[in-house]
Amino acid sequence: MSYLIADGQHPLVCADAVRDEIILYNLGVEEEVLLFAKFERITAKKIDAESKLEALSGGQKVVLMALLALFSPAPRIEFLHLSHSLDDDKATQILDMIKQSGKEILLKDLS
Amino acid sequence: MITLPAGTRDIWPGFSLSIDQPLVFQIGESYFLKGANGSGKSSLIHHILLPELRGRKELYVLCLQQQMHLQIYALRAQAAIFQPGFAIRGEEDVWRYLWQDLAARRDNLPVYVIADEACSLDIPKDIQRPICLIYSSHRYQLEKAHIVEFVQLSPQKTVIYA
Repeated sequence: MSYLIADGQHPLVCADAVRDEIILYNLGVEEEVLLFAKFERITAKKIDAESKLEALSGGQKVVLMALLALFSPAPRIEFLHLSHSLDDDKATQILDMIKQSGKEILLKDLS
Repeated sequence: MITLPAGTRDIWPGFSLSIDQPLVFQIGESYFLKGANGSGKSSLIHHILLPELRGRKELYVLCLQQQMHLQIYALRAQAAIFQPGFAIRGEEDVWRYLWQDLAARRDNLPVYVIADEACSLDIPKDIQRPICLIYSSHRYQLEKAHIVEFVQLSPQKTVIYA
């Protein structure tokens, strides 16, 4: 059984813009809109496809990684070190989304 | 002792940090940078604190970066040259390696330890050197640490209170 691995200690792979991560996670147009709306709701920061990844804080990168994984077509996701870099409010919101995602999800090192 | 003056600093277009009162970081003390994600803790470290510490000959700086995979690669390369066989797999090994490196130096210069979202803050008991610990974490707070609080007024502006 293969899982999409999303590791909070290495949240993003690309170095330029959000668009690159969206391509990597194979998000559709609808998911992209949802991603931006959800990200803004959780972090109070507005982003779009052209936003630079370097302008995100460490925790915001982890939020973005979690949303990219959840909105991706991957049916199974393994989250590693997810909550370490998140404040309580954001960790709760992400964990709620995970519960409601309907995907098969493993959480490891939830320190 | 390091003092960061009060005032507002533009970190990048659309985000500024305001220091309410001069921030003093004294040797022998611990400081907890407390704030939500995106409130500017790492920005204070990288854009204000580290430039202030860099180049000072009278102290050491030991900095553990958040999401430190690039730092791990760099230290692996260094360890391969200077300490072949020292395996650096993760953050705990980075701590061990850096403390061991510091312990081997024959002086008593103080060290500023800066840990940005570190998983561990275990400072070896046998370290005799004076230490100032500055750290951020969402998971724990050391009992005697002074709190440096980051209050986000908006996504564009944070005020820092000590």
